[in-house]
Amino acid sequence: MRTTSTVVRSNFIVLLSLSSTLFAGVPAYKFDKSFGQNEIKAPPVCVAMDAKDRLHVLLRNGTVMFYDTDGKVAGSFKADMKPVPTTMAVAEGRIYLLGTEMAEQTREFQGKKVKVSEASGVKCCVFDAAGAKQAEIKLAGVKSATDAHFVGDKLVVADFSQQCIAFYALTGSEGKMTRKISNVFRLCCGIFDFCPGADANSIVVANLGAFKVQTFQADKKFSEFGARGEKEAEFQGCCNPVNVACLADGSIVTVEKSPTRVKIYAKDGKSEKLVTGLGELVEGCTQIPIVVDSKGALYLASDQKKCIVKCVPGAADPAATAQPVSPSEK
Amino acid sequence: MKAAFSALAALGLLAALAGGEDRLPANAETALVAAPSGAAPQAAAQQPLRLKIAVNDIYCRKTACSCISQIATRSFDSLVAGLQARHQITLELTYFMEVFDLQKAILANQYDGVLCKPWTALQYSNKTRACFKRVADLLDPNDTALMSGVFLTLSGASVRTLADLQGKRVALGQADSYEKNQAPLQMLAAGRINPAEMMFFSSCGENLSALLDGKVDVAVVSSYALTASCAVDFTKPEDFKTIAETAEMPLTSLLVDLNKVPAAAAFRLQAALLDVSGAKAPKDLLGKGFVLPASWKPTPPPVAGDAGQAGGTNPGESAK
Repeated sequence: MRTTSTVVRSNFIVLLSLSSTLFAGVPAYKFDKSFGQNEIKAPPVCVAMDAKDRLHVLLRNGTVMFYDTDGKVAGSFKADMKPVPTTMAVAEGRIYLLGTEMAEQTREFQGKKVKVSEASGVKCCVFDAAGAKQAEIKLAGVKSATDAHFVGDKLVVADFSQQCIAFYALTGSEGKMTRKISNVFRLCCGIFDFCPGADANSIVVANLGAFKVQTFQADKKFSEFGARGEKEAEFQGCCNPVNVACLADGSIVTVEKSPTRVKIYAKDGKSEKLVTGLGELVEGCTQIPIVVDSKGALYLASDQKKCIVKCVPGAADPAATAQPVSPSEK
Repeated sequence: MKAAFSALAALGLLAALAGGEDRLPANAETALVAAPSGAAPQAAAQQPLRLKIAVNDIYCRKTACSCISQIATRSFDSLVAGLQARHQITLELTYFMEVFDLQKAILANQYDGVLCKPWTALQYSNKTRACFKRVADLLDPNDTALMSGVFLTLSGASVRTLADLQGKRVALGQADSYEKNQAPLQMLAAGRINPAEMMFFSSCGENLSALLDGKVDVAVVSSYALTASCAVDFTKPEDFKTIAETAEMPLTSLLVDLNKVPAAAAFRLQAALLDVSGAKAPKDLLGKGFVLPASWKPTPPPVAGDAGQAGGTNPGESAK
């Protein structure tokens, strides 16, 4: 017996090079094949950039890898902490690893009582670049950590379980929550990503269940764009975008899964440009963490393909984009 | 001779079904039903039949969002194997996670049939040469074949009936979603109810988000939205109350293009699907499988310029 079963994930679009002239103000990007050497052996779950443009990659097994500005691995350590960290923030030479503690709860599901493991708290451990533990910080008020960044002097944590973003002032081993944004996020698939905005103390959130990118300033929604639809400017899939990043000029990078699409939007969301040549970085509902460096290069993490993909400013080479490249085949 | 007779009968049936044209007439029956004069045309049962079918199913693990992975565990593998072993019918399934990609494939006339919400294919009856007929309806995990559009408001809201929508704001679907667009718009028109503002979004999540954000007073969503869509991760059914519901329509159907598949083959597929359903339904179908298609005569697709027409208006665009 023989059956045929094909999964269509996407029709990967190869943009006409002409399109780069159509959206003034939105930079063009191309896939940089030269980055990395397939040295990542476990799924990457988070990427972060320090002030010296050194890429930090957190792997699912708790290993933190550092890349120098030439794209070479400069070091690594395996964090000795439980729970295993799921996200990371870096500041002033320190690496803040956050893990979600789980607790067993009894829930009723379709008339039956079942025991489920649910997020119950967040543990934050601070390491130096050598992997030496410097501190352990209590973050009261959040149950899970799906993303974390420093915004100004505050450690900001995205909590999927409570669908909120919490701001913490850190003093020694204590984190005091100074404010929280909640009741406005429509999240799903366990994905909740944000990034520091171009304006001081602002954050940009991938509100994927609402198909929107939203900028918050002083806890208030300042601006938003996005809708589900089949046009390039719109978001596809069951929920998107999954990840966001901000460029220095205020442009917003969005990342969609199933199909994988990376787009650079003008700050107001009114024009956009698709980054070509990436292929499918993930299948199904999986996030694709992203971070940018000071030169505007994009670094995308695919946990399924165990790779980091780099995209740099510049017009795409039509020859390079004609055949979508699988990063694992570099 | 027998084969020739069957072919003639099939041609006659096809003409009867399609009104002598190669496209669905307005308000046509979308279910594949036997001609009133007699039984369905018979085909040689042992002739292998191979059909290319495009799939986008709410409960299929290959096409559903992972946030409903607990309930969207359906697989068609056992069904395909059973049809091949017992009926010499081979279904070549192509799975589409993104319904927009499926729509493009339908417009490109790439498949013999589709397994999806029927309007996904039927909405193009005036744009393609395809003549889709619903061979069978697929039962959901609760063994229900039908769904509807529901008018939801927040549980504590003052809106109680459809008439209360007069002068209010409502979020609807776009034209590619019959239960969220055509059906509710017809209800509003029939009740002479004029909302102050209508917004047309492409997903239940956006409609619910608009309601939760206070941008609209009422949101129309698919009846499964609170149990089998991404909304399960950010809402609870008790947060809402239902003020009205559209007429029921098929949730998921297997449709074949009668311009590609002879009617006799379509009836043979129908019989085979029913044969491997009910008590014989494979467990990985999640329910009792297929049933005869319910009668459904949707209103023809809107003409260009109508509110919410797919591709004709921007998502979230307001009509005041």
